[in-house]
Amino acid sequence: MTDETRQGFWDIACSGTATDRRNKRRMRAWLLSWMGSWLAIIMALRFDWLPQGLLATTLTILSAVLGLFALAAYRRFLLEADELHRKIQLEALAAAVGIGVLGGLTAWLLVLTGALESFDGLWIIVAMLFSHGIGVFIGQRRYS
Amino acid sequence: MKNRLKTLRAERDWTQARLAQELDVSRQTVNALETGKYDPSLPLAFRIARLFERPIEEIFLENAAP
Repeated sequence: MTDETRQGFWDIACSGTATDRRNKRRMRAWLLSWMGSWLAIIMALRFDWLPQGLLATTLTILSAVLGLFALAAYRRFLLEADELHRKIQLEALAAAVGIGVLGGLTAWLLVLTGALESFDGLWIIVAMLFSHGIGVFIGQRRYS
Repeated sequence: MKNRLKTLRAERDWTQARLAQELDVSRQTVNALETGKYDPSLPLAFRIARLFERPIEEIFLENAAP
């Protein structure tokens, strides 16, 4: 009998059932497509390669459709995931949503009180993405 | 919750990977179960009981149980 009591981070990150691995690959593909298109549109608008107007709006909507496919792939991954992986993901998601709501409402209030001059909501999304990543990392360590 | 998973696995001379495959879970899940860091869902507990052909209460023991 092999006694594997402690696993490294990469052992855990790459572990999972065959279904998990397949769903992760699918999710990554959609996520990269969406993020790639999103970044391309931003760059094109910023450097004036793409004028504002119907074409830019259409491309943005198409990018959002790719995002919806990424969302569906993530949902499928969660539904079919190994139960411990699902628990880790849900704990990380709860933390990310909590930070998003708390951070967003606090920042909005700080603008009203005058403590902050203005606030870009994009930072909330960045904070949520980071907190989700950190949450998954902590969860992987906790259950290893 | 304590469990006898590691002992039962040892009796069959299985690796964690093999047990994970039999239960259709990740090796991390088997590891977390054996080290007591994670309690299984009821369906998984039933699968484990069926695999080792023992009643659930013989495999999983409540911490407060006498």
